[in-house]
Amino acid sequence: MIRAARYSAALLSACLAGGCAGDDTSYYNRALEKNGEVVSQNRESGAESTPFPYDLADLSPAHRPDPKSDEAGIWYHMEKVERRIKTAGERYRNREVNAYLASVACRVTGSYCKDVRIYVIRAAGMNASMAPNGMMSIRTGLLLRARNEAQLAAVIGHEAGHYLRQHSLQRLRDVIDKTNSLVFFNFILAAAGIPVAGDLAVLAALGDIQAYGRNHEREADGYGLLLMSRAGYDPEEAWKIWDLTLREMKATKDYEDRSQFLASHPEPEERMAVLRKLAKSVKTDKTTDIGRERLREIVAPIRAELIRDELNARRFDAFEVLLDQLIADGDNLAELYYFKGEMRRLRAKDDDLEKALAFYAKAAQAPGTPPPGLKRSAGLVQYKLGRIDAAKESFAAYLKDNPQAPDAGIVRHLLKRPAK
Amino acid sequence: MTRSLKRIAAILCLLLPLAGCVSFTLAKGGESIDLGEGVTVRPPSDWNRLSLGKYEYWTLDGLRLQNILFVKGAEDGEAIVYRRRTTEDEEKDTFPKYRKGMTLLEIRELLESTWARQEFHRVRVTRFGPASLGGSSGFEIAFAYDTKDGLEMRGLAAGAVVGGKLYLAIYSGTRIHFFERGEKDFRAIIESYRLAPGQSARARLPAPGASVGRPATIAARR
Repeated sequence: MIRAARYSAALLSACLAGGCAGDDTSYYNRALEKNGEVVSQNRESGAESTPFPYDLADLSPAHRPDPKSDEAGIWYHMEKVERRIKTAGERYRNREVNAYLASVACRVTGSYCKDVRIYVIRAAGMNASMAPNGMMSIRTGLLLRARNEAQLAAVIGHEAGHYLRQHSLQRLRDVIDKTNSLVFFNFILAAAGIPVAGDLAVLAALGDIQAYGRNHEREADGYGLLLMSRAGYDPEEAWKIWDLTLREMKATKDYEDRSQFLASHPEPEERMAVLRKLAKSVKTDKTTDIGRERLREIVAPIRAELIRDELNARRFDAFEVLLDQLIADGDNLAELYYFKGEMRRLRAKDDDLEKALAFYAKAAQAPGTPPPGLKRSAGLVQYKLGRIDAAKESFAAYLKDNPQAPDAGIVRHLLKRPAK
Repeated sequence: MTRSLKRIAAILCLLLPLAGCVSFTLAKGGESIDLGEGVTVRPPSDWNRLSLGKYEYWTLDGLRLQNILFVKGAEDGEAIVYRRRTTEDEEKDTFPKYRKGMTLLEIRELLESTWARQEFHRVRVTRFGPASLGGSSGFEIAFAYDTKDGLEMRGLAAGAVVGGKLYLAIYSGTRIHFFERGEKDFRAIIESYRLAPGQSARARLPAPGASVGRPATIAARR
């Protein structure tokens, strides 16, 4: 009992030390509120248009930190990271994709366009990140998941929000403050003879630091919404991207075990609900651009390789959710059914192989262009199921269509002696 | 927090052998070298050898410049690891694994997806054809990739399934200079590859005095 009281005391004191900011959903509104103030000021002064987020940001365009500041330290570090990223193996160098994302980013960030540099990283999964010096990295997995340019703009706007509000810098200062107080409190507690409580204090401080970060995410969401709508995109698209993410998350094994206390981002449900509500307040007759076709044109030629990246991650259940969404959107169904088959061929559980064959057959009939490996995959599954004649037929068809394929020699080899 | 601790542990596991806790030994040129698990090879010149049991690395100039990875019989359900897997991958069971009965097409796929998971970027397979390894019919695969730092690499691998186990010799090196420097040797090593599965591994531990320490260029007297 006394122990419990001591723990609570320690937890409380750690909270007091750190300020215990906690989760605060009002952060979502900050960008819009500031924007409202600017708009009404302009109205009073008779200015016609709203100046671009200048007054919503903590830094001006072409900002450079004071060389003596802590900020300069972070910039120096990030510049080193950026030099590495420039030549990194995972950088996706497709010229069209890079130019396209840079143009969307420019449209969203306006007068800050030159300050934000986009690096496309070839990786599965939906993620983007922003460094305090203006280096934004975007995973190619986002290109599969954003269903139109407006959704892409929402994510880029969110990241730009982190930059405009200097969240990395704020966060660094917060961590330093909280860990400093923590050292001090541990010292006091140890002197008072409460040794174990130090661990609880660390946990409390860590949770508090994370909550602080989650508030930044909320604020960045608000900025994303504002920036995208200022650029003329439909703000109703912002919440929709979370819908797919949430479904993918729910399909993964560890969704139920996640810790909200130590999470880096707010729950997608919350983000969806708030963004959906706020979208109505920024929507006007000028915010109608969705740009589905523009994104589709960029993604179509590279989509198969991006889907292959997702498949390589072998989170089969989440993969299925993503594919079903793409199928619902309806572009190049032949390619998508092929990958439905590929997933089952690789998972190979229960009647997966039979189902794989059914999807390959569907791919051959569906509108669009199936990838060149369709007949090879079908042959492989037939071979595994012991249907040697059918396998031979499929392999022969593959060779006929792809006589120069790097694996043609192996397929011919399999054709010669398919049975064991 | 536990995740980052696990990462640190995984990195330590990777670094410890490189830091000299497991030492390199000399594979003398012109001699028949018993790699254990029934595998013997005869390198034309001296190589530095780092044996980690079933997995074994050889290099002339340093592992990051060029290396041969010998996988001496991966079994059903085993992942083909270059480095130790992270615990995260193990927990989620998402790492690609070798399965008994895989065709050569699937083994290629296994290698490619394993490489993709181990930060081999932009992997391109340039040739994939039937070939024999240690007297068994298998395959040879030529490939190229970029490292995490953007260094361009070339690779050549040979493999065969014998007694349901997958035997591999995977050679890779920087596209400029170091791949070519060891390529002839690698081909000779593959030519000399003998496999007698079931034989006990006699020389798994390095002979006393054979240690050459770190993978420097000492052994590369060519």
